[in-house]
Amino acid sequence: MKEIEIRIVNRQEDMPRAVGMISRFVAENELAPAMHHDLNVVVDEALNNIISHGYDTDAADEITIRLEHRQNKIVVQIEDGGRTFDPLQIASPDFDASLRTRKVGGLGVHFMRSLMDNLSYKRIDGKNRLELTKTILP
Amino acid sequence: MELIESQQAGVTIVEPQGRIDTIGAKPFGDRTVALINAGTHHLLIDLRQISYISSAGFRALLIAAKMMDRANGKLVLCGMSPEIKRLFEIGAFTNLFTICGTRDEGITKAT
Repeated sequence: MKEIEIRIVNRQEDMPRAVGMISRFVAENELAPAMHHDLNVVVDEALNNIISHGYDTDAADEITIRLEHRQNKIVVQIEDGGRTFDPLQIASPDFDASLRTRKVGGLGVHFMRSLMDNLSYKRIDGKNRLELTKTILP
Repeated sequence: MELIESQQAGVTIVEPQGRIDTIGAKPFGDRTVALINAGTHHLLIDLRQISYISSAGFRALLIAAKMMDRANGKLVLCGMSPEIKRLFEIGAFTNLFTICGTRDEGITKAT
């Protein structure tokens, strides 16, 4: 399997379907456990951002998740019809903060930046498209 | 999210199973907050059955650590996979938590 795509509704309760999709993709492409881990984290972060911040109302929408194995790269593409929301504009957390002042805001995007090799965001035809790429280590 | 709980040497041990992600963080966070509110001052969270933690899970851990700090108690983490340890490093959390390798070391630190 070089490519897999699913659509989930914009509700947290539907997010476990993405976990199942990642497991199938990892097994079919014989990817390493570390890649499996990183894909789980970044897809959870991306979907949580979209579902938590992407909608002004509780209107139903579909989020498309696509995983592709392109040569030596894994490409994750996530598309949603929520309001314009570029997660890459979110500032990183204050890493020097003490336990009492430390906040979690921005951590999800920081994980995405750190675990993947490339992140890009585009607004296309009224949709947000986030693309995350990671090279498969030999 | 299933949480296995036990007591050893006066330490409450919580061993969550599966994933502390957007979905799993809620029951995990609710339970740790409830334990600390109920007077648990020696808490060990054993992560050996956790495959990954996302930022929602780190939020729950941070809330528990702050509460325990205010209660003058001890919160210790153990059993992390190398991937989870890496997330603690990436997120600059290693200085904010007491992290042990094994459960036995964790119990000693949490006592």
